[in-house]
Amino acid sequence: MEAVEAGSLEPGETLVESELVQWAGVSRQPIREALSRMEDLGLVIVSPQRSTVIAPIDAVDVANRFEAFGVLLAATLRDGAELFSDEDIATIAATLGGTDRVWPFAAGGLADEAFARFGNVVLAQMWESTRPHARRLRAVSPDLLPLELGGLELPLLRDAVGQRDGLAMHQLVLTWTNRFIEAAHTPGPERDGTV
Amino acid sequence: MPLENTPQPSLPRTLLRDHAFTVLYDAIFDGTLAPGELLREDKLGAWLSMSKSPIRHALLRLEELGLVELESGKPARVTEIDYQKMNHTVLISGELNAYITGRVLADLTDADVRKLDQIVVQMKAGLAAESLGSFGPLLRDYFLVFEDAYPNRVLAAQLRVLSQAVARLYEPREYFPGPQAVVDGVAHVQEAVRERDRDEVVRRVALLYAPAHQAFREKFREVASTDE
Repeated sequence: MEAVEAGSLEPGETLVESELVQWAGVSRQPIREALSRMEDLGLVIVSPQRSTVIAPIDAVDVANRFEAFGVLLAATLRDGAELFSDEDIATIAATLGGTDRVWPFAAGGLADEAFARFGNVVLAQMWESTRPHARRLRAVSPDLLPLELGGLELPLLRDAVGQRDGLAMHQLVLTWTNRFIEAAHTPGPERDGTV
Repeated sequence: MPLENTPQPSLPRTLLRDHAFTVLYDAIFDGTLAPGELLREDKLGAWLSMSKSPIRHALLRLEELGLVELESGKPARVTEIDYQKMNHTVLISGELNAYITGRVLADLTDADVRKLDQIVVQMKAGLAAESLGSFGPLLRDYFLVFEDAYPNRVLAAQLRVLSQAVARLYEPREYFPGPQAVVDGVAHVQEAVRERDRDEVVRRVALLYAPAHQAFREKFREVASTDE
């Protein structure tokens, strides 16, 4: 599974069970279980003839997969504004610092930190099963990443976090979510992430 | 040997494990398999008349939905009902329901609106007849009309898993508003749907989940301490 996330197995590549057994140096059973889990996560596609292909990726699929997390991130920041400790806020602010643009779904990024600190265990679980997709995208198809957050939005979001302005955080993250959804459906130069 | 005579173990295999999943899933939802019940693979095999492999696969899928717990060397166990976790599920589904209803309201057909009307009528009838068992499924079906109209099928599928989990456990409890409040709340949403008033719809859907929000705020970060 790590190999798919890290991109050393490429989209469209066919996996043969016996070769995987040799490559990983383990028996068939754990390989089958791993493939079955990966199938459930949508990382591989198993066809009836038992060939297993690494799932292809396209921009619309990616945006569709992350839309819910954009909405839930917005809600987490809105509700977290009054619940988070100062230390939580500082950590969340740090994920937005230092650069012109950030990708909130990056490892150790805004979503990782906010979801981990919010304490909604179901949300944390949902995010856990989507994180592999986020990491894999970064490695395999950075051009397909949902748009980064940048331009005017980023400083506004930093301010909103600093002031614990839940409604502003909610609005900014929702706007960003709508933007990456629309961008995925409009192929072309708009997809470079500029505001 | 002609191709059609060769055995095709792959297809039935897929069907078997899907079948195992469906049967176990339904059994967990309707209470045939009780919370905390142990699921021994050999007994499940005898019950479903199939080998361990499709059952194992079905259990893995159920584990990912949080319905079953697996630990190596131990039999699988039906997840205990955890009302705090249920509240967390309610919150997420509420957030996504509010979002989706707002996004698709303009695209709903008149037939969709009539379907929603009917569900509200059924809910009211269920309340009058005190048949509360149908509540969870009706609430799920109400929002399902919006989900079905939403173009992002991935999000709709993510939400469906959550609504299923909520439907499993709709009982008026500490965190849930009573049945009367739910019916009133949904009827209130439906009025705004008929008027195609987007902002009101979103606001009223959010209102349905206000008690869950309240419970979450009150118990924020108590999970860790009660878990020990």
